Amino acid sequence: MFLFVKRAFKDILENSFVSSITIVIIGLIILIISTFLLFLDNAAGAISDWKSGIRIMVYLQPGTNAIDFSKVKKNIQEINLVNKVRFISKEEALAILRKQLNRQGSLLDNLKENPLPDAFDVQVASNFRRKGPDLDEIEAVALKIESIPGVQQVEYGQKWIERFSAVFDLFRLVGLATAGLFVMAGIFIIANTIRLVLYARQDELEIMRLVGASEWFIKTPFYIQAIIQGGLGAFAGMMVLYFGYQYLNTSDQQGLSFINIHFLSMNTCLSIMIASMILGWLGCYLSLKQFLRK
Amino acid sequence: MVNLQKKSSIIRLFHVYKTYSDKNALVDITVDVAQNEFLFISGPSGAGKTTLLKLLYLGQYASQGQILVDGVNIARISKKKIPLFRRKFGIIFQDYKLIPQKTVYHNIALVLEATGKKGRIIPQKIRSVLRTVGMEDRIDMYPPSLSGGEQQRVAVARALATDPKIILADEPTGNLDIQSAGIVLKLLIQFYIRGATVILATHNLELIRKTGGRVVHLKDGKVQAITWHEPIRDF
Ligand SMILES: Nc1ncnc2c1ncn2[C@@H]1O[C@H](COP(=O)(O)OP(=O)(O)O)[C@@H](O)[C@H]1O
Ligand SMILES: [Mg+2]
Repeated sequence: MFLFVKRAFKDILENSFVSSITIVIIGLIILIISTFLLFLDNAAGAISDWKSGIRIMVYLQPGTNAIDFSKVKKNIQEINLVNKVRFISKEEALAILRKQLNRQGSLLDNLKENPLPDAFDVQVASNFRRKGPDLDEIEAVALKIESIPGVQQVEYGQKWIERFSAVFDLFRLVGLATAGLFVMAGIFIIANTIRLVLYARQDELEIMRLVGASEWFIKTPFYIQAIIQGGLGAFAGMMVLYFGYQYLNTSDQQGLSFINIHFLSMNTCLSIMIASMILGWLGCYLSLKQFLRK
Repeated sequence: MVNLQKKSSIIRLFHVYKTYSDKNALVDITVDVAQNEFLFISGPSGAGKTTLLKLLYLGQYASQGQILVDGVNIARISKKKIPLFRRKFGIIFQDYKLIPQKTVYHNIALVLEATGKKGRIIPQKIRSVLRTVGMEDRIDMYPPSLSGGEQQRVAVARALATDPKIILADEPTGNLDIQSAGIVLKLLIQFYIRGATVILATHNLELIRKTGGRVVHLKDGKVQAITWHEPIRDF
């Protein structure tokens, strides 16, 4: 086995130009795919965060008294999927608004009476744990709340999240298809590199066959070589991605910190690495199959 | 040179045919080769000598007929078992088939490693076979820097290294001057004396006259005659 690894490394060094180009290209492919994965991973996280942050604001008819408040609250709480209900009095709402307006808050001083309605802030849970509630779920809850007497208006979930979700799904589909193409390109490139080595070693292969070398003995070094190239390529690609990530995360703290970008998990990194090695193996397999048929 | 009668056959060809697309390279060949025989296959270029040798080590399959090697019908050998089967043979070619990018040492090491030898045995064996062919001082040289005769001696050493029972030599002296040819021939005879079976394909009748032995004469893929030659001098 050691002998095979040695032979594989020797082959890579002897064809260092082609090998390094192969590794760089595999690295680029892995970089593109894992950047995409990084983006998907973070975007999916962000979307579900936003979704779980969606609240239903329930505005009450003006003039509703305190007894009615608790009745409405009870009615809301009885609806399926309703998680938390918090009462926001119009005074509280005004205070919040004043705070948000900050320096312009004094504008509100001129008001004769509070124009804001009393309200409930309703948080919706999901049937699906972990993920935020679906817009369908929120909509269903909102409809039920609307029919409660004393409720004037219901406001909820920004429609754009839904639309963004749809675009995101499409993006993911296109991205995966593209990644598939890149993977195929990677297999093809490794297959080609191995074929070059096979051509260079044609005489040697013939002699090995004539003296009775087993198929295993003949092929294993090529597989090892392809797997090494796949692995090194993946490693290089992910290192570049990692440094890029580090750079963005530290240099642009103000700009990006409101979304907490996290790097791919260790498991994902390992999976990418292994996938890239399998890709190398596959390229080698195809190459050997085609070459040895002749 | 040898007493054939007492020895059993190591190779038997029985009504063997080989057809390439529409060309009959071999027609109805029936020949027995005795254990530890030195057999010549002679005939003009295109007679089918190379094809005959290829059939023996399963470089090609016979189109018809039966070939037994060591009592085994070789047509029945599965693809997986072919490598093991080939280790019975040491094969020598007219064009040496050495790897130019590898030193003499590594050319021979390759076949030893390929046939599963490991560790210290490899350098020991390489030195010993190179000594046999008188090339031990060329151990670190590359084939292109050697003369044709020297390259062929390395090729002979390589064939020897795996201790094959049968040596197949296809025009081994075809590219060599008389002196180098004599050296290579002597080496093959040494093998034979040590107990190997040697089959040598050549169109050079001079070799046959020097060595003596049984000769299968091929022409247009057919056996024309099988003759016996007394050697002019014993090696
Ligand atoms: N692979 C092949 N395909 C087609 N014809 C072949 C092939 N190998 C040999 N032949 C033909 O078979 C005949 C015998 O060839 P060969 O065995 O090489 O003869 P020799 O070695 O005696 O010169 C020749 O006519 C040659 O053209
Ligand atoms: Mg020939």
